[in-house]
Amino acid sequence: MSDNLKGIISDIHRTSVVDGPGIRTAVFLQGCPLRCIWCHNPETQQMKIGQFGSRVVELSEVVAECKKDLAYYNVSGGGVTISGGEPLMQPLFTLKFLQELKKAGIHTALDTSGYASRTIVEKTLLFTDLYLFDYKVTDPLSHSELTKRPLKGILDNLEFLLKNKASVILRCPLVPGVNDQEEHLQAIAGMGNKYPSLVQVDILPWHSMGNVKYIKLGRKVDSHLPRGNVSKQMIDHYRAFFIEHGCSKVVVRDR
Amino acid sequence: MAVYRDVDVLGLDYAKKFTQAYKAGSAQNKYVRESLCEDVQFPRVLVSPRKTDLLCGKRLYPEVGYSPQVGGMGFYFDTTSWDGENPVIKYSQTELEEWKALREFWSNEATAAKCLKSFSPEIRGRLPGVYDGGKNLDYPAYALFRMSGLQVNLKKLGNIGIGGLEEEVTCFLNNANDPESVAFFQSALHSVFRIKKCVEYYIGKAQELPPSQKTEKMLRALSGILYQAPATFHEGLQLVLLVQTIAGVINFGRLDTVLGPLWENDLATGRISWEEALELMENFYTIIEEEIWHFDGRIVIGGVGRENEAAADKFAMLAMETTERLSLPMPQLTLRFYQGQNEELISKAYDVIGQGKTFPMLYNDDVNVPAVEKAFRIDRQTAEQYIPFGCGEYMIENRSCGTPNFIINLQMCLELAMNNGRRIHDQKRLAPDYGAIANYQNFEQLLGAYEKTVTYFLEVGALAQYQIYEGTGKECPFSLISVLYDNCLEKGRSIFDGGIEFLGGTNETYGNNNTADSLTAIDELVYSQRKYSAEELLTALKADWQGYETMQKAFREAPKFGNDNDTADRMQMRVHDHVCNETQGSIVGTGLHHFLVVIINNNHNTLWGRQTSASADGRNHGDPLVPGNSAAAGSDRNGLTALLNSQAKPDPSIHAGAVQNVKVSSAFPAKNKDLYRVLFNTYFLQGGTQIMITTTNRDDLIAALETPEKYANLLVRVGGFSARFIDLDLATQMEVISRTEY
Repeated sequence: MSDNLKGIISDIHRTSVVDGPGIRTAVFLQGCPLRCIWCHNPETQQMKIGQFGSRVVELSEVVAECKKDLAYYNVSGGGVTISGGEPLMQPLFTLKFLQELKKAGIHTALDTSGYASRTIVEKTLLFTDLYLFDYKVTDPLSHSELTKRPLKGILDNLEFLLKNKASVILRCPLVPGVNDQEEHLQAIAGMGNKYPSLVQVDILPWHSMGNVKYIKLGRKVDSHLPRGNVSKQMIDHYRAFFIEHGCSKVVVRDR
Repeated sequence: MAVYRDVDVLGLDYAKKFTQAYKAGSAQNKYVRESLCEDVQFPRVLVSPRKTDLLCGKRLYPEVGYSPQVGGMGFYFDTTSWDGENPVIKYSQTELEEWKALREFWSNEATAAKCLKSFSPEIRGRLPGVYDGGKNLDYPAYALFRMSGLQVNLKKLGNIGIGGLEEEVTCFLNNANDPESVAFFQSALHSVFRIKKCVEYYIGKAQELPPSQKTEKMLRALSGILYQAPATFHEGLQLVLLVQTIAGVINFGRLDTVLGPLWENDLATGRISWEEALELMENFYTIIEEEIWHFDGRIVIGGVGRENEAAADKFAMLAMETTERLSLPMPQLTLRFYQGQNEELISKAYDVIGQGKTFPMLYNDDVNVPAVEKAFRIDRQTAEQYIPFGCGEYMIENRSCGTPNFIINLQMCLELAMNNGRRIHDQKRLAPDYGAIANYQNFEQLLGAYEKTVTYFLEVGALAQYQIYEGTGKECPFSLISVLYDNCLEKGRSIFDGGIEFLGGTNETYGNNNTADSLTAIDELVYSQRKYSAEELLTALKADWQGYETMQKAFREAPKFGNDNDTADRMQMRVHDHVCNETQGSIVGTGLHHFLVVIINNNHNTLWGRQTSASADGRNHGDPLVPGNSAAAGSDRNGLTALLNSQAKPDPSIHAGAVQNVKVSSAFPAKNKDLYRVLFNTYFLQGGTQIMITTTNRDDLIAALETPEKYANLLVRVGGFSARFIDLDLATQMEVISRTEY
């Protein structure tokens, strides 16, 4: 193992049950090229050390931590999820990390915005068992506005992965009044039906838990965001919509 | 919590009669004395059934009485409840004088007082503090006077009934030769007659109730057990409850093996329905909840080593169903399980726990049986009959007594070792001077001084335990308990006079993980990194970290137990190994079969924390100590698997029980039904010994502080006991809230 390979992480969550199947360890890498207005982990956006526990770590150290729960992964069908931030912002670290995990026989999931160069995405194919791939906004203009990055490259990467028979779970954050327009919901439904190799589509209704982090960072919560959490009625509405559109792959999460 | 004593419970006349019986009996021998006193107590102390009851079996523990534990140990006299807010009801001056005379008489004659007096000077020198129920825990170690952890042979009772016991004891009496055995058997026979007398008494009381179906059933059950072995589930339950009540035994052991076959038979013959059985169980649970304090009242179900497992499992399911229906902090239902056991049991257990009932507590036999075998130095078959009782101590069912008559605060020992044997916050000298942290050349020297301090107290722990047994054996035959303890009749000796098979005991240790975390922090920050000097640390602790907040933060952030961190966990195991091995080794020359550490918790972690100075794990003076084998509140930040991995590390084969509390958000089992099971199952596969799970959520706990009336059913596991959250004192409530919620 390249023992001296270093990366910047913001946190390690053991016993995660929300970042992919089974019991998992989620490793959050620091740094993200996107600036989604609803981001609930704003502290991971900048490649900074020392804020909210972000720190430089050696790869071997992180891998060792991940191996501690091997028994839990095996019994529950879990594994390790590399998340962020955007893990592909630290491509060398992430690739090597995935490789080491596979060597240890651990199921790997990559939680990505898809905003990365094709070369890197391609390299991940060999060592990634599952992609948690974000699909946030359908309209390209709105996408640029709401995430500060263009949609095209992201969609191309998604198509590339699916064509190469990668297992992909589409992750769609829905923020009422911001990105939950009918066209977007229809596009999500369409995705589910269009790509047979898509394992699942997760609808993640927005929650306000990230707001407090903005305050701690001395930043303002975007004024377009709803005041409170997504209501139960709204969640039911989303559910009804996807049932109506015959999308058996869509799972609408509770807040 | 059970109200077990009231002001002036049975009056002066009763107290005088009891005392007269004691004096008259003392002129003869301990057996006669016990019989005479018990005859004054019974049936007088029994409480009549209500018209809503199906079962009888409640008693009072008046100011003066005889009992293994509740009220006091052996012959006791206790008017502490008269002080303060409970003034004695009006007595004339003469009567008050009489009470005073009684108090004086019993201050010398009470069994505990006699045991205390018989302590060797060495014990008295090292344990100068007199335990007062935990109100003021000022010293690092105490001897406790109680005979908790008794589990009588309810299976034998159920199989042969009162009549069978009478026959058995008569047979021994007729064949006895030596006078000591004869005296014991006579008193044993009396104790069996006394059960009958109590049944008859209750038949009379039941007849006084307004006639109803319930009363009819109650009468039938009582009549059924008068001579014969119980033939129905109702009769079995009635007999168990009544005999436990008379014996003063407050844990029930493996009830599934006793009641399972009766329940199965009733089911098969259609005698009673599932609903009727539940109604009986609900009455049984309610009486336990009203009668027994929350540290006890264990009912054990499941596990290896049960005859007729299928029948026992049926009772186990019924017991869990009752727990599910009633939101009571009692009884402390305990499920033992093993690989290959009927899956329904553990599955039902997870369901019930997931609903926030805190029960059943789970015990992994695959790990615990071999561990008990080794720790108790007994064979496998015997080890299979281990029983967690009270707050989580193990004993061997009707063959040992697990009573912890010694308690020690390890964190206080560490502060003494850092400060010339003086407590840091008030400079009170409590242990020999083995040096001060500033004088130690390296970490090992500090650790050595800590270990010497612990050993200084442990050297008298086993001895105190033995002398309490010896003293009790001289004074109290506990004849009924002896009849129902294996070996006593065969040997012709009462339980603590040579009758019991394994005379062992336990040592309750507190602050284990504060000690380990403090040592880790000191090793890292003072000795390895040299970030702070020893003097600085001592000064900061003396100041209770006031003015040293940055330093406190650094010590708080040092590696902590509960995060699956090798540095912290290795230290924890070192502390664990030392205290367990030293305790185990201290039996040499005492006459004890075993003396083992128990890492359990009532609320002494909170009470003892008040007297424990600021500690190097970043804790402030007065804050609670870590309960049982948990992580320090809020210091486990690495996820539940990390906590569970840490908790599975310390060697289980050198102690007699350690409780692992975890607080899980109620959303977790609700949303992840399967993963929640898989998670704990994996912990057990990884060597986890046991777990006590509170499912709740922080918001509810905080809301319950504000509007307690809305949260009457909110149950939490405090340490070795469960409670309605709203019944806890504020300090304990805050301690529970401060724990990490997963």
